[in-house]
Amino acid sequence: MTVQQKNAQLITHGGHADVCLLLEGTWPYVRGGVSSWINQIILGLPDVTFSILFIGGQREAYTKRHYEIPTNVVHIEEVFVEDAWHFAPRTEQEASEGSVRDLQNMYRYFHHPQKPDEITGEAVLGSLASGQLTMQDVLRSRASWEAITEGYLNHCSDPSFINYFWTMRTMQSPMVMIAEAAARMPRARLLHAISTGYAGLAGCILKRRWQCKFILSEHGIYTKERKIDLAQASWIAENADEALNSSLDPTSGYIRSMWIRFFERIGLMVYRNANPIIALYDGNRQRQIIDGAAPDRTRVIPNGIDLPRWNPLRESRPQGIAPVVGLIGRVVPIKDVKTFIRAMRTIVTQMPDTEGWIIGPEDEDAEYASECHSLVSSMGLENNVRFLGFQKADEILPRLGVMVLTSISEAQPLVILEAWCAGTPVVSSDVGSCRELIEGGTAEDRDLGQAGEVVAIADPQATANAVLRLLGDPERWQAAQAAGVARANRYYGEALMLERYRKLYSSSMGTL
Amino acid sequence: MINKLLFSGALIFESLSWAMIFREPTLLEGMLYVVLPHAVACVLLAIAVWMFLPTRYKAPLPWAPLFLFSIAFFIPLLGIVGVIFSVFPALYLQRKRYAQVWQNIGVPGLPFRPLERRHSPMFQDGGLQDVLYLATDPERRLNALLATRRMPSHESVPILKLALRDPADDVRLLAYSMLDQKESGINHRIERLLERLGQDDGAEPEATHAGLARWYWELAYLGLAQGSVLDHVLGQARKHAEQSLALESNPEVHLLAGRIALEQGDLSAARSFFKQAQNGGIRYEKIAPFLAEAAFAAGQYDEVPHLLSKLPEHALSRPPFAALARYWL
Repeated sequence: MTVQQKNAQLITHGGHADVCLLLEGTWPYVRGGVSSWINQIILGLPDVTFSILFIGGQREAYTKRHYEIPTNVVHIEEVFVEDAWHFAPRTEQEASEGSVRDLQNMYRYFHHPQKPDEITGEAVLGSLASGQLTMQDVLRSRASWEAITEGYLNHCSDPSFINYFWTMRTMQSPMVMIAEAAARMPRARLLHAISTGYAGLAGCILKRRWQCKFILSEHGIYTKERKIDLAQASWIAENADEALNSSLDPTSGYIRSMWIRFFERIGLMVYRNANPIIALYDGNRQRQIIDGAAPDRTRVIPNGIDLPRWNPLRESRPQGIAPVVGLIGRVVPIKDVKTFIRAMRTIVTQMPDTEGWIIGPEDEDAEYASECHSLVSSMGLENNVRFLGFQKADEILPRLGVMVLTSISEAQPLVILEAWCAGTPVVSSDVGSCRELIEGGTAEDRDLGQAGEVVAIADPQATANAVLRLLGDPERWQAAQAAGVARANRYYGEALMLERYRKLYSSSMGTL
Repeated sequence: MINKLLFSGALIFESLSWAMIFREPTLLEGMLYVVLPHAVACVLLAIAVWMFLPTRYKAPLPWAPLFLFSIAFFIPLLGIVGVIFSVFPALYLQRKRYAQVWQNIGVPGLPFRPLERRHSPMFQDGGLQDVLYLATDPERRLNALLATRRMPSHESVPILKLALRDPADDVRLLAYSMLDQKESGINHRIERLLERLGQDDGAEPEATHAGLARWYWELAYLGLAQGSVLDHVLGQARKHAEQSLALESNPEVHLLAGRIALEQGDLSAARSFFKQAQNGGIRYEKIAPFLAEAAFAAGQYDEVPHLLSKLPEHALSRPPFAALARYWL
C-alpha cells in the first residue's frame, strides 16, 4: 500500500477517539522536538485512541509524512490555512446579509485595539462553533463590509485601505475555515492542543461544540514566536511614510500591530478556555501567566526520555573522548548552524584533528542549508566539518565527544536528554530551559554538578572555548558525563511524563 | 424686588442727569445736577448688575462691583449698554464644559521620541544602549531594539550585539533576527555576485570583483564578523579588490583596498593603495584621515598632526574629527 493510499484510508476512517490532538505544522509531517514528543505520547499510551486535526500553512509544504501512523490513531483531518485565501469567484445567489452582531463581535474580539472582555470572546466562539458565521458572511456580506470599514475609520492609522482590507480578510477567513474543518471531526472525549494559535483556536471551537475538557500543552510559546516573526516580516506592506521616518519611533505600523494583536487575542482565548495549561518548565509557565493564563490552571510537565532504551547506549561508546563535536537538529536558521560552523573554525585552529558533524535533514530550508555549505568551504573547513543528513540519534550520539546546541530558541530540547543518556556532555546556548537542564534547577538538582556548559546565543568564540575546555580536560569531561547521566535518570524519565499525562487524560475524561 | 428698585432708581437718576445736561449748566450746576445723579445712578446700577453676576464672578470685593461702576460711570450710556449686552451673555452662555477637564496620558516608554522630532537630525542615539542596560521592563528593551531599525547599520549593530546577551528570550530573539537579516542581505548579494563571476560570459568582471570587495568589507565594517571569521572576510575583500584592480585601475577601489589593508594591519600595502588612490584623483582630504590612522598604527606619532592639519577647517571643527583635532593639533 502506498503512503498516499494509506493516508486516504486514515482520513476517511472517521473513528471516534478518546483524545483529539490539535496540531499545527508538526507531527507527522515535520521532524523535530515537538513531533517526537507527540510520537512519544501516542506510542506511549497505546490504550488511548487519538484523532488528529492537523493544521498547516501551505499544502505543498506538507507532502511527506516522516512518522508511521500508529494503530491507535483512528482519524486524521487536515486543513491548510492558505486554502482559505483562494476565494471562489462571487456568484449572485451567494450574496449574504450576514449577522451584524457576529461580525462586529469578531472585529471587537480579534482586531479592536482595546483588550476584549470574555463575553465577546464567548459570543465569537458561539457563532463559529454553531456554523452560524459562514465564509460567505465573512467575505461577501454587507455586515462584514460595515464592520471592517468602521474599524478602518475608527482605529486604523495606516492610510492604505487596501492593505487594511486584505489583511482583515487574510486573518478572518482561516478562522471560519478551521471552524468548518472542526465541524467535520468525529466526536472525541477530550481535546488536547499542542500550541495556541490556529490549533488552539480549533480547540476552543471544538470545546464549545462538544462541551468537553480542553488541555493545552505548550512547548515553545507560540504567541512569542509569532511576534518575533512578525516584527521582522517583510511580507507586511509598510506604509511609505514609515520608511521615510527617521525618528527612533519603535512602533511598527498598524498592519503589523494588527497581526501581532490577532495572535495575542487567539492566545488569550485559548488560555481562557483551556484547563490545565501545561508548560515544559517554569520559565514558560511564568510567561503563560503574563500572557493571560490563570495561574491556578497552569502546571509544569517536563519532557521525558525512554531510559531503559537509551541507558544501554553508553556501553557502545568508544574508549576515551572522541574528538568529534556534533550538532543535532534540522539545518534551519532557528538552530543557528552558522554559529556552530564559525565555532568550528576556532576549535580546529586549536585542535586540528577535531571533526564537526552536522546531523539533521537539510530539506526544510534548502537555501539556508546551501548558505551553511558555502560557509564551511569559505572558512576552509571542508576536511573537518561534515553534513551527515538525518541519522538515527541512538546510533550517532555515542560517537560524539561533545554535543553542541546553538539554537536561538528552544523550550526543553529532548536531544539534550538523549545526549546525556548516551554519555555525551552538552554545550548549549542559553535559551529556554537549557541552563536549568545543564546546571540544575533546584538546589538538590544543582548538587549533581554541571552536565556541560551554557554559553550566550550567537557567540562562536564562547561556544568554541566551552567545547575546547571539555575536550581538553578529561577530568572535567568525565564529571560532566556523570552529571548528565545522573540528572536524566533522576528527573527526566519518560515513564514519569507518560504517567502524568495518563492521569491527566483519565481524570479529564472521567475514566479511561 | 430690590433689583427692580435698584434698576428703576438708576433709570430715574440717569434720566435726571441727561435732562440737566441739555440745560447748559455752569460748572457747579453741572457737578451738582449732572455728575452727581449720574454717579448715584451708576452706583445703583453697579449694585444691581453685581447681584446678577454668577457667584464666582462676584468676588473679589470691592473690585468686581467697582469695575462695573467705573465702566458705567466713565463711559456714560454706552458703558451701561455694553455691560448689559456683552458681559451678561458672555458670563451666562459660556462654552460647554466637559466634566473631565484633563486627559490621562501614561509615562511614555524610555526610547520615546515625539514624532515631530523627525525634522531634527541631531539627537543622540547612544541612549538606546542605556535602555538595554537599565530598563527593567523587557517591553522597553524590545522597543529600544525596534528603534534601531531607523539607524545606520554600523551604529545599530553594536546595540543589537549587546541585546544578544539580554536575559529576556524575546529581546535576544529579536536582536538575533535583526542581525541575521542584515547579514543575510549582504551574504545574498555576495552570492549573487559570485554567481555572476562564475558565468563565463560575465561582463565587466572588474566591477563584479569590486562589488564583492565592497560587500565583504561591509560585513567587517558593520561588525558582523569577529575573530577568525573577520580575518576570513577581510581576506576575501582584499583578494577581490586586488583582482578588480588587476583588471582595471580605479581610485575608489584603491581607497577601499587601502582601508581593508589598514584593517588587516598591513600598513605598507595600505599606504601604497592610498597613494595610488590619490594619484587616481581622490581628494587628499578624503585620504588624509586614513593616512593619519596608518601613521598612528605604525607608531609614527609626529606625522599624525601633520596629516590631520591637511583636513579643511570645516571638517576639523565637527565630529568625528573635532575631538581628534583638539588633541593632536
